[in-house]
Amino acid sequence: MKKLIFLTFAFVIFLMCSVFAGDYHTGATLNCNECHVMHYSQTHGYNADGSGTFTAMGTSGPYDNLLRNDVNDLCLTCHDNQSFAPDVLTDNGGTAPTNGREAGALNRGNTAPYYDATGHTLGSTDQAPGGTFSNADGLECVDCHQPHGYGGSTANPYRNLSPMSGGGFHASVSYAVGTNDLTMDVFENQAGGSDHYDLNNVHFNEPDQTASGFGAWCKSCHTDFHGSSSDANMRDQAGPAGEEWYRHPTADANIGALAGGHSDLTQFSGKAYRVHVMSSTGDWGTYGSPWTGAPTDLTPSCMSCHKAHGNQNAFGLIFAKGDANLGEQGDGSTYTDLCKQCHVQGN
Amino acid sequence: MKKYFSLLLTIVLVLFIVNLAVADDFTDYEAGLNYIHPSRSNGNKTVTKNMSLGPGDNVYHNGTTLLCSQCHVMHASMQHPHDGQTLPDPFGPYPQTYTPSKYLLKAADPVALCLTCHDNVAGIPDVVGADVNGLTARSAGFFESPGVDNPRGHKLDYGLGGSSSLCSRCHFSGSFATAAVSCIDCHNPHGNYRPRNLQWASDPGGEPQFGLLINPAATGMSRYEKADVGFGTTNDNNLREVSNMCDDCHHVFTGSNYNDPDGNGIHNRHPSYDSERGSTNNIAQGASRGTTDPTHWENGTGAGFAHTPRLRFVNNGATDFTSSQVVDANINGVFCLSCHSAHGSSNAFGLAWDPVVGKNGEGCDQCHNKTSL
Ligand code: HEC
Ligand code: HEC
Ligand code: HEC
Ligand code: HEC
Ligand code: HEC
Ligand code: HEC
Ligand code: HEC
Repeated sequence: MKKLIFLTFAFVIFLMCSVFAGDYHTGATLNCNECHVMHYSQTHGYNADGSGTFTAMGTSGPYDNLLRNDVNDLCLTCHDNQSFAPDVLTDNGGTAPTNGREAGALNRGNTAPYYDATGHTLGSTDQAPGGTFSNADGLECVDCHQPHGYGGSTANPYRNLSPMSGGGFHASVSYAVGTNDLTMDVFENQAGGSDHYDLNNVHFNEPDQTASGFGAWCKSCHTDFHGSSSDANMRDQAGPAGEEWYRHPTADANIGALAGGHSDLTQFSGKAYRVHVMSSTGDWGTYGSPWTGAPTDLTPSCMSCHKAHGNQNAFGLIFAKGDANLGEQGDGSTYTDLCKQCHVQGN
Repeated sequence: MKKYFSLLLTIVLVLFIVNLAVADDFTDYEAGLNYIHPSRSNGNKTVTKNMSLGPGDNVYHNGTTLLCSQCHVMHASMQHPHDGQTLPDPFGPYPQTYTPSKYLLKAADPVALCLTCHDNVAGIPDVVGADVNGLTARSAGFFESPGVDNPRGHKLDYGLGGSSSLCSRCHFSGSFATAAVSCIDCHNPHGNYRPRNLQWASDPGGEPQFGLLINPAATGMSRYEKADVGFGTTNDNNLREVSNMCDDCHHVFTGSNYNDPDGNGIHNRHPSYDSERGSTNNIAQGASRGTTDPTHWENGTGAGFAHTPRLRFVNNGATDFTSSQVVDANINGVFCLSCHSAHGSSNAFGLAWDPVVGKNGEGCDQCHNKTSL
């Protein structure tokens, strides 16, 4: 028996049709056969004349859940080095957004310059720092992304972030496209085009001044790292309000709110290129110019310092000096550059 | 010859089967047949009409409706019709002369023979291309012309031998991708009192009774209408789900050995109701894990139902048409004919819906409801 295995990319066509709703793999763009195959056997494409490309099948199937390949390999069939879908693994071999990929790059195999220490490592069986989550089969894309776009209580989750990550149900991250909605966690300028995944296409709202929707989602695995100023894991509850943090705030702390050497809004707004912060008014200044009249309620969160997937720096940190486009690594070269986005020590 | 065949099959098997228990048992052709149909009896294969359940009664080309002269001609020549024969005769006006063919058939090949009547003759079910009888949807769907590749279902072709050469269409020199089928692989030309005279291609006569249940209220051509055909099973040879006859050629798509080889309860190939291989299913079974959405299936509206009527299902326990129509996720099972038309359709793979962008998951969503999440 010969099994014909075709390499395929029907997605090009699919992408051209996906102008609405923002995310892919949801509603009308949830194409079952991109990822599933019924009998681990396929001799031709899905057009009535048998033409049309389809996703390659791995060689060690049949796979659980009728998948065409092991989960990570399956996702990477399209999400690595293809022009029609965002490249998420190591170097960007696909479409390059103007300012760099918002989520950065995953790593696997501990290969320079994307060592295991530079961010999330596919296949890692390690326990999530600050929490108890681990995947005995190794970290998979679907530990964080819901393959069917399911968002639980969140109608349409940002980047299909899973409401089940870390085990247990929790809120996912909500978002608005095109026109901002300050009640949403994220605002995405446009849901298509070559800059769809650009770092400057995505902004963070702050619908609740004491919380971070994005941080709360990360918390589903990194349990101890997040919370508000009234959470004991974050701050000494006996200390004066807003002070004596145990862990760097990721919510409920406005830049420059406290006088003295804490953080400095002038320092931050004086930078031309700034890391992401949450803004309750939907004002993030102009990327590339210093920011006059920056609101006083800007709050840092996880994405201020880390690339969600990772990059070439240890811990996926963004070495953001702020003089030039940050790109994926940051325009600086040290950890300190990042701190100095908001802090004046050592100026 | 048969010994040689066994040897070849053994070699092929060693190559095919890596770690499946069934492999050890299969050393010759007979064993291969037993592997395909574990419930098969090697004894006599008398075709019995009087089974307690009779969906095979009154099937055409059986008993009094098996009219030899419809298909055979004794001397390749006939000056006038038989007494009582309805005219016009699809084989042409009289006097008729034929090219003498094997088995005294009225055509050079069985497929050509069947299609003389079963293509484009009003009042006889039309199984190729457009339907001369204008049915809403033919139960088995339709083929393309013989010899033409058909990515929308089975490819018909001439020159295909009987069951002895069946295996080599896909095994040995043959390849599944380029193989083809003949009417008499699946249908017994002399009738076997099974619905549509369906048979086991690998072992004609050995087949059980099949649960293809026709609406008793339907008459004439509407007995071939999709909506007038239901499916049931009693999970034994008294009445087996009709997709059991698909196994003869598609034997690695059903049964838990194939659908869940690692036995972890998570399927690796899509389940298809198979009572012979102990792999039944129902649409409600995925509710606890959230894999299926039984309420959505029962409601019959929303995702999956927008462009596609309710897919067909096999009803566990149904022995007549009325009970086969009961929509209840606990007894409705998914089987080959839920997704495929037996002959073919206008969609790739003979699917019951068009898997194009925008409604790609139609069909799937009737049971799984993933698009509307
Ligand atoms: C849940 C729906 C579903 C069921 C049930 C199902 N199939 Fe399929 N089948 C498909 C789809 C969809 C394809 C097209 C390939 C793909 O997407 O997996 C397919 C493809 C096929 C193919 C072509 C394989 C190839 O290599 O090109 C065959 C043959 C087939 N099915 C036979 C069967 C048989 C026999 C059964 C019953 C035992 C069955 N199918 C049950 C949905 C189904
Ligand atoms: C619907 C068409 C059809 C009708 C009606 C039909 N036959 Fe046949 N018959 C065939 C075909 C097709 C074959 C060749 C089978 C093969 O190639 O394996 C055949 C083969 C035969 C054979 C030789 C092979 C065998 O199966 O034994 C005999 C004898 C025979 N038929 C007798 C009859 C008699 C007697 C009748 C009437 C009672 C009859 N047939 C009615 C289609 C028909
Ligand atoms: C001389 C014309 C003729 C030929 C040749 C012929 N058939 Fe038929 N066939 C009929 C008629 C007439 C019916 C019954 C239509 C009706 O239900 O009123 C029928 C019905 C059938 C049915 C449906 C039976 C039922 O009651 O459900 C099948 C299956 C079938 N034929 C298969 C074949 C096959 C296979 C061949 C070739 C071996 C063949 N036929 C050759 C005329 C023919
Ligand atoms: C006699 C052997 C045989 C039987 C019985 C059989 N098939 Fe097939 N099937 C084939 C062959 C050969 C092919 C590949 C060539 C082709 O397209 O016909 C095939 C292909 C298919 C395909 C893929 C068609 C495509 O367009 O790619 C589907 C779906 C299918 N079969 C379903 C079924 C179902 C459902 C049944 C039972 C009702 C069934 N088959 C019974 C031999 C068989
Ligand atoms: C329509 C194509 C087709 C026909 C006809 C066919 N087979 Fe197969 N058979 C397959 C496919 C596909 C496999 C899967 C192995 C492979 O990929 O080669 C298979 C596998 C097998 C296996 C190995 C089972 C396993 O677990 O790997 C056996 C035994 C077998 N066939 C016996 C037969 C016998 C006996 C016949 C004739 C009565 C036959 N087959 C006819 C397609 C076919
Ligand atoms: C792969 C197996 C297969 C082959 C080959 C096949 N059939 Fe069928 N046929 C079926 C099945 C199964 C059904 C019943 C399916 C249903 O009702 O969904 C059927 C139904 C029919 C019917 C009833 C009409 C209908 O739409 O249900 C007729 C007539 C028929 N077949 C004739 C033929 C003729 C003539 C040929 C050759 C040109 C042929 N079949 C080839 C499997 C086959
Ligand atoms: C008629 C109902 C029905 C249709 C249509 C259907 N399925 Fe299924 N599917 C089931 C059932 C029942 C199961 C078994 C659920 C279980 O055991 O958890 C299943 C299982 C699955 C599974 C594996 C789940 C698991 O964990 O075992 C996947 C994946 C799947 N189907 C995808 C599809 C796709 C894709 C389609 C469309 C091509 C489809 N199904 C069409 C009923 C259906």
